[in-house]
Amino acid sequence: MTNMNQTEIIGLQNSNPIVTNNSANFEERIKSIQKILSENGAEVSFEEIEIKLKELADVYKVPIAEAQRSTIHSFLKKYNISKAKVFTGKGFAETKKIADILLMSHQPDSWVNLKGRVVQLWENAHESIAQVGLLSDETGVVKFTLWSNAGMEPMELNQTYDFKNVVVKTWNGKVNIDVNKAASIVLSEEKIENVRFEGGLELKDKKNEERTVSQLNQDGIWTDLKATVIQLFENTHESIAFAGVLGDETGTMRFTIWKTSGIEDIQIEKTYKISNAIVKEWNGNFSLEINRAGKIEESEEKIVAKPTVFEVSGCAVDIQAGSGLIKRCPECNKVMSKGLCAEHGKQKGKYDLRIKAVLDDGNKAYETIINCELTQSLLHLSLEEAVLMATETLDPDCITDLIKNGFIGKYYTVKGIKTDRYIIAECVKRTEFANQIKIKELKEKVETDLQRIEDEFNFKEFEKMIETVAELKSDFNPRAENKIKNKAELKNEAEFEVETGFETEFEAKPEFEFKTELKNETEFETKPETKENPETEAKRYQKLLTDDSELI
Amino acid sequence: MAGYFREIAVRMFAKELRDSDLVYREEEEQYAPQYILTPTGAKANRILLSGVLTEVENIGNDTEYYRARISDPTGTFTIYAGQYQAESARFLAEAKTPEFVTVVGKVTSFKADDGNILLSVRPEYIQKTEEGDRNIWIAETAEKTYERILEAESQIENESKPNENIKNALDHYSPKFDEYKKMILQALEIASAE
Repeated sequence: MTNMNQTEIIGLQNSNPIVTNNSANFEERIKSIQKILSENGAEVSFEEIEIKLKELADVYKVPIAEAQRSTIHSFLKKYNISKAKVFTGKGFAETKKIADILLMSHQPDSWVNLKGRVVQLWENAHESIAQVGLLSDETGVVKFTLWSNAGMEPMELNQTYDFKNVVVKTWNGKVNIDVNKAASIVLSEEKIENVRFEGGLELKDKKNEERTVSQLNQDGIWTDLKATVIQLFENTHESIAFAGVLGDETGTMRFTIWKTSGIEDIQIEKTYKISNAIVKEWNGNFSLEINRAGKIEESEEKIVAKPTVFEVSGCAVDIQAGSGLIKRCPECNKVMSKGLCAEHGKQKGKYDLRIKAVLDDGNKAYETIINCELTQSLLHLSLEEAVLMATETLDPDCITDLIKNGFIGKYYTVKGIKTDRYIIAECVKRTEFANQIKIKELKEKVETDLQRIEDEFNFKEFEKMIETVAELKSDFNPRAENKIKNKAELKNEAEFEVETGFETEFEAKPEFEFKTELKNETEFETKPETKENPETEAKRYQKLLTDDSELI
Repeated sequence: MAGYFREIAVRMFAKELRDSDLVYREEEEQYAPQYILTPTGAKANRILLSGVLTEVENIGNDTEYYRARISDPTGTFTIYAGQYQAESARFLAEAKTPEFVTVVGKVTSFKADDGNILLSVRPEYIQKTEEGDRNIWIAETAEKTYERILEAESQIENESKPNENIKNALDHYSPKFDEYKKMILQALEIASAE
């Protein structure tokens, strides 16, 4: 509706640009209303309009533009004239090529006219949408949505239409056009023959590259695939025919077969040849979707799916709710909450032990589930002992505390199968020691890096030193002795640096108060002498000093 | 739970946290997560730290409110735990010093009267760990910090594809990366077996 208002207001402002509330203006407004109404077959007297408009503007103090609009609408309603019909084409819509429309992402909600051929009609997902698909001309392709409430005849595939007053919308940075009540669609006399649309029209026969599961790691890939269904989920939505997990030799992934595909028979553990499926990304996980364009046939070749084994290492940073001693429903094995199963109601339940640990490696957090068997050996506690412990302490959470105390802050490597969200652990190993090889490598890397900077720095220092010596040579007088004494002090300092080095000095001062201390530290750290180089540094000083002594 | 993601526990040494004073929120909302941006361009809400618990003090008047200091090879982290961090507060109440501990927590900021921003850590978990865990943490933190420095340095040289965080960090701190490289070496020294 807001879109409609926009056109209307544009139309009105066009005919009445001045908005001052004097009587002449008032009269003009009434005339213009009368004109609009009469153009649409409603003859209304001046007085009748005046009463209505005055009531709104004077009694109810409605702003005059709004009052005018409201008056028109009330008469249109009275005479049963469609608003859409009245205002169609009244806006400022410009006629544009699709390529230009595609560049309008920065001006959403603009109104345009265009000529386009319907090159694809999609299965629509919602009752409020009459048609959805792609329009194309010689310059480009754009998605369109024809809303049901626009009340228009559906368009035919491969026909060219003239669209008036359609709205440019952007969604996720992509431009598409909305055909709503205010728009008009007319079959065009001129047909667009050459459309800029790759991929052809008969999607079911489209040829794609055949890929493996491990290659399907990007949103929007159209692909063919040979894979075995390894799991089927319970159906959750009426427009989904099947959903589950499929896999080939390279890994596994989720799939969704939409009802629109017309596929009716999918069985677990069978291998299928899938054509024209599309990869969708959601929250970093990829799934394969088979829609209207997709095709599935049973394959004679049997493929054994290899589960995707994940190995992650990281610090245990959280133990999620549902860890520890839990109760499962004896009917469906689902975890019960407060003695209730979501499906089977009140049940006695059987005890189970598990850990839901979050491992964080600094780049990503992995949610892992560790089963009863592994949990028992990690905790050195059997399920029976755990139950006994919980009963004795009257606190089933005591096991959770035990897990938290034992796990959090420690490093683990978990190997397991990745599902949507969790990694189901098959093997859990505690990492006890830092990798010394890695430490050594990193140390060398940083040292070399620093050495390079240091070398540049020392070179500058050395040049400065030479300058000082030159100064001494040219300027030999009693004052020079003082300078030499300073040099001797410098030598002592240099030796001191060799003894202490940078790191010991730092170590001795491990704690700092916030700001003042920080300054000291910074000064201290920016000193050029570090452990890497004090010896050569000292030698240089010494050399300089001997040079100087010779000189004297 | 759409749009939910777990904040990664960023690794940083005490010195880097102490040098940080750029605090911001990405959204205006009251409960939008608060982040700090460190000199090497790490954006952090949650951090992981490991070190030696050196001091615990109950600074609360009526309720228990603990301040603790955890020392790593480059400086000290200050953590605060009160009634809303019951588990952590309980841990600190019973803790012996010194002891190896690992903390998962959120960085909180406090603006002092003189306008300085003081950062501390509010623990979600604090647990007793072992020297090995501390060393793994040092190695990991050194690696991550060095990676950040290299990325920032490469951005200084080539500004074609600027990373917003790094750009802001460079503008705000004009960091001396040599200093941080020395810090890394110094930390690695502690984690080395020899």
